[in-house]
Amino acid sequence: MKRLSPFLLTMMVLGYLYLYAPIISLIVFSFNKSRLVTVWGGFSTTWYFKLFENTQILDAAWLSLRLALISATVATILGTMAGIALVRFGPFRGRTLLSGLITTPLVMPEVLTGVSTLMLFLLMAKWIGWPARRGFSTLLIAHITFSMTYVTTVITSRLSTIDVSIEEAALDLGSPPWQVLRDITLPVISPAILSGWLLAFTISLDDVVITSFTNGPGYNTLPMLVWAKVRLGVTPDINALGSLIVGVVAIGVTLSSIVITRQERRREKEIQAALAGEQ
Amino acid sequence: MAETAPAPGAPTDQGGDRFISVRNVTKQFGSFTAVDGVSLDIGKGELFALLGSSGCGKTTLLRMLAGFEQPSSGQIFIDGEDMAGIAPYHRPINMMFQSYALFPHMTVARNIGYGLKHERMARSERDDRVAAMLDLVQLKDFARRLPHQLSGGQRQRVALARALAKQPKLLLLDEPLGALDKKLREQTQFEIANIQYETGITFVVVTHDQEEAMTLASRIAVMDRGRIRQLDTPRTIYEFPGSRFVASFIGSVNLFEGELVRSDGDHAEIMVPDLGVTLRALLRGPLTGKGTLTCAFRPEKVRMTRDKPDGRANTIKGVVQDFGYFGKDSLYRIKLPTQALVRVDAPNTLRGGDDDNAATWEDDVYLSIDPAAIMLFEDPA
Ligand SMILES: Nc1ncnc2c1ncn2[C@@H]1O[C@H](COP(=O)(O)OP(=O)(O)O)[C@@H](O)[C@H]1O
Ligand SMILES: [Mg+2]
Repeated sequence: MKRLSPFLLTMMVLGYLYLYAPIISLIVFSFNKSRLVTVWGGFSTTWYFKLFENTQILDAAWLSLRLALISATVATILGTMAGIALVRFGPFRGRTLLSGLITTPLVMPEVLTGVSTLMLFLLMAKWIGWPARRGFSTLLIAHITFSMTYVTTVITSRLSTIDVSIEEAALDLGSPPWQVLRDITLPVISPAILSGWLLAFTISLDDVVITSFTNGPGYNTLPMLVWAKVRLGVTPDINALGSLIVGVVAIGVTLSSIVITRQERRREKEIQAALAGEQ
Repeated sequence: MAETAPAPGAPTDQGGDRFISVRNVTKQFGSFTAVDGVSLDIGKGELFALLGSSGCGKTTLLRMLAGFEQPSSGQIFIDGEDMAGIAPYHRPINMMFQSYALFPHMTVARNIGYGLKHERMARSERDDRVAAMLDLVQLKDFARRLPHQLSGGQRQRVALARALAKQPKLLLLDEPLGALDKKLREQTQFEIANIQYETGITFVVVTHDQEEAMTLASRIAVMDRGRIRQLDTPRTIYEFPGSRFVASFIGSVNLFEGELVRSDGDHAEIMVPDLGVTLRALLRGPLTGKGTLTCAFRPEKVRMTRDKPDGRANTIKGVVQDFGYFGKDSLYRIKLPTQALVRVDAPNTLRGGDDDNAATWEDDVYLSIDPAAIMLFEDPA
């Protein structure tokens, strides 16, 4: 390997520092004994124990997680259906309208989406008596609405790169449309569906703006709680929480890459077996 | 063949020799007419070719047979049954796509077996059929590979096997050899013809390659801008093209405009200014005298000699302008005193190539054309 020139080395270090210094300082200070965030008072894990005693934070985390899981799943189902309709159903009536409606939240300021969703809930409460109070269901609806937009975008861009003739070939071989969807379309776009789900999950997990318009008393999600606490000053338990999240993400990324490499290796073995003519 | 009640408007003379009947079918995309009033009949067990340049509507016609497009007007009958409104998955037809359209996430064996899950057959029977298909296309060792691990030729054979696996009544092949290199293409042409002969399935092959159509098909429909220009056996299309367009589309040809001087029953004399002579041509039908008269002759039908031949009709003197050596024959371009160029194809019958008699640059030569080899067209095109 070629040795890096001093200039390149410096730039590389600076680049990584820029990206990771905040996270590193977060992790380091989460083990700080001192209550003051900026003064190092020795190593301790007290803030982690404090964190797990704090039911407020735990409740918020649990709410965020449930909300993200359910809304990402529903948004993925709806977004995939919308994406397939937009790309595969030809120029049906209302196609432009649907496509516009689906992509608007992508470019609309979040505050506007939040306000208008709130307005809708208020009007609905007045006219049909639901939702009487805002809470989990209103949060869920709002999260599904905006994360579906991202899923649809991912699905449409993937679908439009896939040759329609493979779906036609399945029709030609005797499969009615719903079987073509099950056997061909969905398996082929499954990586896009997975990344759409992950995107929706992440977006739901860290949304503050729309959530703050659509939640009710007692329904604080984790980001909102953090937001509220930080306004009173950064406390070390927030650092501990942040470090935990970084840890979970790192583990998730590592695990998924291990699974992917394993699958690839197994596939390679299968190929070699096939090459050797084994059945 | 089982008797089926004719659908409303169906011709009553549906027989084995009219297995597929396309009646006056037109397909429009917006204001653009892709297929324009096409009618043709294809017999059972025939290997039929649709030949035409790119964009002339071949794929569109095939897609209407398969059911992916609905004709804007006209009817399609398959085995006596009107296909209007019948979905692709209910038609007894399979298609091999121009892009092969293999399922990327399925192994070769699962690709081939995919259509069989809709047949009522036991698992073992299905496996046997897949194995037989793999055998047929010589891909036994590749059963568990994924499409992206195959070469172009192998993919082509998987696509063929998949389309054949259901033993359809009709197989549509859209440019089946388009993506293959020349050597593989020639070999595969014979394989396809063999498979067609062995299975007895009716094949409709789309191609833009005239050699491919000639080698494969028992009959060819030549298409141009959505219309069928001629439908005949390969030999008839080559030797007796019905129009100037077909003559120049199939093989190479010398074309010269002329004027009728006189005709005496079975021969005509035509003054051809570009050649500087009056050609004597055998008449195969009466001339109407309307439209531009074109004389055409194929390069290999011209006899080229160094000495003036005696008693031959249609002899023209010229000079060798250039020639290309192609192994089995040489292609000459002969310049006439009128400055016109005539292509002549001369076989290299002597080995060695330095045949004393072979003409070379600047040589004076005499060309003679048999009156029966001259084709006359009156079409304005
Ligand atoms: N779905 C479509 N919409 C609009 N135009 C089409 C469509 N399919 C084909 N065409 C046009 O019809 C003509 C014939 O196409 P095609 O049948 O694919 O030709 P080819 O003979 O090369 O197979 C082309 O000019 C093409 O652009
Ligand atoms: Mg085509």
